[in-house]
Amino acid sequence: MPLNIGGSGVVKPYVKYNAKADKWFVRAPEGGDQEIARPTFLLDLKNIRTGWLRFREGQAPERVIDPSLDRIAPNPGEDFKRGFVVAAFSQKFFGGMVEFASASIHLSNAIRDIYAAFEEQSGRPENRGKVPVVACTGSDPMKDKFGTNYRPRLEIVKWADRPAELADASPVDEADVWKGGAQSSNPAQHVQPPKPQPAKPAVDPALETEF
Amino acid sequence: MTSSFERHGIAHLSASSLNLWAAQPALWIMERLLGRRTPPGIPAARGKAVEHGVHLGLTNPRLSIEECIEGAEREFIRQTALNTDPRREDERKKLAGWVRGAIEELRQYGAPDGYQEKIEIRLDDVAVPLIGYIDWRFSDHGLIVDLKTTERFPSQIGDAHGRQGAAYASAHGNFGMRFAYAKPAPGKTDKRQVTVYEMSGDDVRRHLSALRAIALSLGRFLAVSNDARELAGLIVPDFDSFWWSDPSVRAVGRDVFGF
Repeated sequence: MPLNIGGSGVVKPYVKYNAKADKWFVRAPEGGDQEIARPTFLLDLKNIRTGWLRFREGQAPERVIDPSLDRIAPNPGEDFKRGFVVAAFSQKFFGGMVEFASASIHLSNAIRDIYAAFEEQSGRPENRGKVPVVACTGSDPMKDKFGTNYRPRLEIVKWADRPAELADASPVDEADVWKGGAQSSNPAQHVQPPKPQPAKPAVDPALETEF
Repeated sequence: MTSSFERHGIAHLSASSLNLWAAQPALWIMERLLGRRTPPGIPAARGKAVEHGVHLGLTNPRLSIEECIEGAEREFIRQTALNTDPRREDERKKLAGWVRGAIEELRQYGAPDGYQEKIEIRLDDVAVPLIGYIDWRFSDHGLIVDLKTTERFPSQIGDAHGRQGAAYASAHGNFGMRFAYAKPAPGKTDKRQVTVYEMSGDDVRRHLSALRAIALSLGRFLAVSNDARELAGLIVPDFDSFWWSDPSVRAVGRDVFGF
């Protein structure tokens, strides 16, 4: 019987887009981020998942995934933002299949728009069973209260057969999917300080019981 | 017959040790079994420094908050004297906010009558005791309070803190167990600098049960071999995890696990 302990040793590769710097990164073989050129890649929009994501410095990322694209999980708490998780594949740019997840508003908007294009094109007979090939062709600066961030320009440039490496499956762990009331997501409530204790009256020695 | 813990020289457990085993077994082996510990990081030092400053303010109500902040800064500088982490100065500047917010909240509890007191509990079927050290006990109110410094409020008491609190509560009969989460500055919309959550009895029981299960898992693992190096060979570290984000920790990890 195997021991149910220890790390799995499985390192999940990723691609990420830094909207502040307009740069793409993948996980370097020795760990950490490695910058790459604007990529062209297969994007498994058929299996994309949305949800609440929280990235905090020095802490493990947290995510509560929506049960489905049309059913949004309740906000789990402070600093969770709406985002997405999707599988992407490119041997040239990513070295294989990677996870692409973000809660960046500008990147999410770009993904939302390309998903709309995917929905529109996926019904065409020639695209059935195929996966869109998405190219990042540039970026647009977006000025907001946080300064200038960038929104990548993503375009579906063609459709390709699904490679064996890109499984036709959900990109998220089932444990991360919100399951209604089964998952504790109610924020705790602040408790007020206790009321001051009334000063204890001095004990009259004459009233003390003597033994 | 000695237990597997004792055969590895482990005389007691702690909530933090069991939390580490549950989260990152490889790191537990490296630090707790092989003794390859790296110095505490800046976040740990800031937590201790803030706690020190707040304790000054709680036990001496006449002390000004500025004096408490100075005490925290002295403690932080002492603890990080040899630390070259570039975050050191940034964290030092934020100490004042953490101390100020926490004192303003916790002075409403009055003066504590216990500080850094050792607790010891037994978990069923676990051969060695579990020990810990509380932050503050307010016996007048029947409360144990633990201070956590943070950048953002958690939405609830997490499992790791919950296990720690369950041990403290269990050692104090029917005392309530509260965690005070302090931020260095108020938020833009939420102006609170401190939020306090209290564990329910169900929380305590649930986390005690988890502590026992984790301790039993650890005991079974240690029973596999009396050779710590052999045990290390059974586990694979996940260097991508934030637990290994400190380069010095990763360097030791590579030395221990060979990749």
